[in-house]
Amino acid sequence: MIRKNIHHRLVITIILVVLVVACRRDNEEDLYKKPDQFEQATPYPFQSPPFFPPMDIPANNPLTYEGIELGRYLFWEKKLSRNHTQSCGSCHLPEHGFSDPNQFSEGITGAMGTRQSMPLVNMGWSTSFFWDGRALTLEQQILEPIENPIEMDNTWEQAIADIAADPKYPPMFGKAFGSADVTVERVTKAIASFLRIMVSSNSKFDQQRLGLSSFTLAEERGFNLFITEGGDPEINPLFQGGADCFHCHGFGAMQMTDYLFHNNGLDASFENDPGRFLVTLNALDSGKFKTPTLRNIELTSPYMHDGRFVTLEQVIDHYDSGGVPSSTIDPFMKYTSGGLQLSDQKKADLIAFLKTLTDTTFINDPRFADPH
Amino acid sequence: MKPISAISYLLLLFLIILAGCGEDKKENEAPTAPESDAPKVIFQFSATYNGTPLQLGEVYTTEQGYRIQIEEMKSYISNIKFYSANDDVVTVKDIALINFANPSTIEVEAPVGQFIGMSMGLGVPQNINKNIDPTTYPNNHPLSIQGSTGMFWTWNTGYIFTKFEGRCDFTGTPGAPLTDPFAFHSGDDYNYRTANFVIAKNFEKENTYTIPVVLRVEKLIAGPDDPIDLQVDFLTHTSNNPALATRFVNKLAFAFDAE
Repeated sequence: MIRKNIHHRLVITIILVVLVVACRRDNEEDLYKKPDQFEQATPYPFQSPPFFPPMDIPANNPLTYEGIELGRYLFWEKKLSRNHTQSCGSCHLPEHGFSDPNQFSEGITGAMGTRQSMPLVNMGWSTSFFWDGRALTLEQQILEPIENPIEMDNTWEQAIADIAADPKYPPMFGKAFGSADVTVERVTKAIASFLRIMVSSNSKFDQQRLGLSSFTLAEERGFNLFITEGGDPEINPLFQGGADCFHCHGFGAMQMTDYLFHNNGLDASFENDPGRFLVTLNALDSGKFKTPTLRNIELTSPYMHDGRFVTLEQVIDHYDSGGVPSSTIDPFMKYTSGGLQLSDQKKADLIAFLKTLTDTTFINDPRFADPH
Repeated sequence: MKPISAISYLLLLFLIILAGCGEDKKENEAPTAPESDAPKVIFQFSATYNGTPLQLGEVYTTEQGYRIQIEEMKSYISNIKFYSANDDVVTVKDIALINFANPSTIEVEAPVGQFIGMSMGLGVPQNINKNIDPTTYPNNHPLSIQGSTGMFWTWNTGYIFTKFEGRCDFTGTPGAPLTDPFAFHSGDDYNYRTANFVIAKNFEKENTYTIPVVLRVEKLIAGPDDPIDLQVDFLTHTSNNPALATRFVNKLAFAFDAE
């Protein structure tokens, strides 16, 4: 009887071994076809916050805990720069809404940038990146700063070699992607995953929308100005005396941007920086820049693509003026009718509302902090 | 209990391997949808200004002699319907956002039969204009936040039905800068309009038909019926100038040709 049982167990074991061997061939082929084995990592169950649209996450870069954690390490990794002195986070500081308090960021050689560092927040919903929208995906966006001579001034080849030589990284790549290989594609995928989960949705504005908080009277007045058509009714009876912000900084998706490109009347000509024109080569796009989100706007001074304004008061004064006429100034700038004509009280109310977009839980979230 | 023979084990093994590995193959085979033999209709949307293809940034002349440059020309098209001679009505497309900056097409399936009329809603129908949160649509839907980029105002206000923007030079001087802007953003339920067309189509199975739909942009401001003088009436977001928005959509309804 015992012999029979042993015989049966042996045969069953053989069957199982044969099964594993027989089916492994397919898996090996899959492995060969798909260098990134995300199934070996733990899926990150992302859910859009209330009133946010769904986030499009690329099928070839699903969110995983291991990929996000790797992305965090890489985001803060100075070895990505040529002399190991700067990481992505060097110009995207949490306390400044993941932006740079300097007008322009200084690269590793001391060279200065020409545009203000954009705040990093809710980027997973953005449809283009950089002030001129030249990158269409986060993965694509991440490719640039490493090799930009006025930023990290490195080569991807060197950056990859330095990351691969750091003993902590190959195992992390293994956990995230199924093998320890360090590649450009994997670095960009991991950082993109990290950026996608950098979600701010706990500002007073969010809480108010959820019924968990109430605006003060000043904030409420500011909000109403934000969503009211601009222009002095005494100049034109059809004007409504509002601040007219919502046309570009629409909040239907809770992001305070229309994701489009506008010329908001900063300059009469665009020799210094033609903006979107550099991407489309269409003269109608000269002087246009991406509408930035207003989330954490209180923290992300200086303002505009060239950081020319230091305070929110200066920003509002600019819009209040109607802007400088040019060949592409947005029709909604009130430059032909004397600007918005906001009173000091209205300006103060507007700023009170803008400050409700500050989310301190976001900037202090330990999941986004430097792990090194 | 009868002992299991070695041959039985081998047979069992064979069957298990067959069953286990066969499953993958089935999953990998993409199901092939049966090819529809319904007539196909391709709507070819385009825009012209005084008969020439619309080119954003090109300078045209209005009937008042102004020099005009169009910078944005977009519109929601909805509920495209065909009407048969015996009063059958078939809706072939629910909603689409057309950017008239460039020619574009929409392909639909149509019923077999003879049709003598076509209509096309201009704007977003009332039942889906304000009642549905755009964040609930998938991002590739024309009414989603991403799909409607620049065409959605904000909570409770609904969509911008049609955007017509640009700038003018009222002096009419060749080479003078075009400094005076105009912007027509029509919306709100009361500004939904329908364009109607007479057609003569006999849709047959397995055939493809094209229907050019041309927006004559100059008709948005010109014409004998209530012309709009851009020097006087140049800006409406609907809520700030509802009368002008309504004048605009009334002209829009008669600015299309389809055949």
